[in-house]
Amino acid sequence: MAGEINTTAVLDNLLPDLHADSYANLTFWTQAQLIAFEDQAAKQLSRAAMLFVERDTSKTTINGTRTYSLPARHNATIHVSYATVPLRPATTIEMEARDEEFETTAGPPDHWYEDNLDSTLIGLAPVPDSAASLPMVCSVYPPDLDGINTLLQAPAPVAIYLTYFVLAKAYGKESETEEPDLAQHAAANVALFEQLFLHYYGEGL
Amino acid sequence: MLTAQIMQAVCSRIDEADPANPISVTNTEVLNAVNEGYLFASLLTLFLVKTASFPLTGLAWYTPRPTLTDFLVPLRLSVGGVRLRPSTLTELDGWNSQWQATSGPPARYATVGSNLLAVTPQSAATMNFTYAASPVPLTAGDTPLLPPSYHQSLIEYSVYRLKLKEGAQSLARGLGNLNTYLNSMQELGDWVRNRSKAAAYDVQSLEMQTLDRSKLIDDILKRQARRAAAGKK
Repeated sequence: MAGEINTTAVLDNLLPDLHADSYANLTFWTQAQLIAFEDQAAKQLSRAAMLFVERDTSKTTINGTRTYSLPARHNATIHVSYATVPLRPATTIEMEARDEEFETTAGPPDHWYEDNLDSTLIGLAPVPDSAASLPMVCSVYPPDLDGINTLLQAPAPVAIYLTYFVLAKAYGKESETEEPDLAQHAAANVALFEQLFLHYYGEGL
Repeated sequence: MLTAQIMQAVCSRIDEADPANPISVTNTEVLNAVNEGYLFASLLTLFLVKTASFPLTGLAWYTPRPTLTDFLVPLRLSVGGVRLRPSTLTELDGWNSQWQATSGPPARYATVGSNLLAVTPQSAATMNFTYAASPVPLTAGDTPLLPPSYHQSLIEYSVYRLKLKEGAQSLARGLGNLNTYLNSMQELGDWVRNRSKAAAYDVQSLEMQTLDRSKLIDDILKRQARRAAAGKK
């Protein structure tokens, strides 16, 4: 898909910063470690700022079923609709105050809640009495970067974030090439980028 | 300045005897450093503004990035010359509980994250999409789209970036170049923000005065100075 960051190219460009001209010549790190640092960076960024948002339309309500599974890679739920009608977020205490039997009262849902449920579930109240689509807009973490999946759907400047994150981890790793100043500086760059992304896209978690 | 001239200036600043044929770095490294500073500038200042046609197909939800591959943030959206008002999903919910299924000329929009756009009411139309963009990577023959008076700042960033890997004293010297780069980006960002306010764009760049550079620069320099002083004793 267009508009994706090639995370392999990010690491390729980073090799000179690690005093190597190829992955085979990396002395104190392995290619797998660098890929793992990138993956860690993408996941940290998803928590720091709301860059990765997906609208999941795969769920359909079932008559009499109160809870539904949240989308894969879920960080936080932003918006839920019952077909095309937005539902309001609530807590179970609020739901109990409205209706002590909210877990069984049937009807078209008007609220959603997640507390007091398994962390992979979302609850609807009233309990749906018919089938309808249940679109959910959620902040998610991106698919694992594992050397096989190497593309990251994100704004182009995220590539610089990945670069500094990997540098911070690589030079912060205990080894003969450990460079605490460089690692701290790269980590400060990571924090600066998180501040910028937070400004443009809002809080992740 | 052409990118090739910027690259030679960078090599000259890092004491390459023949800036056109550097020895301590490769031309690819230098070009990558220039492009990194260029891309960073686009995020810091939102200097690059583009307008493109974006097809609305009558749906409420869209993902802009596959169409606008360089999309950063929306600045101004309009259909048929009529501007769409920026909103949040909460505002849209409060405005009309059927906003996801109301047909009519688009009047409001919301973006969530970096790649999700909601438009209401819905109709098939071509939207004029003005947005802050990330730049296409430069090649040696290109001229950066930054205002020419800021081309020098790409040299500063690149010098910093090439010295970074050496750590210690080289890193300390490079931090001065980074500080100069950030100062000029702050100046450019202020100029772009004033222009954006005049145009009543929907998103403004971050006020860089609010960025704390102490951990990025000052703390490193102080620590190195303390270490140097301890070494002299």
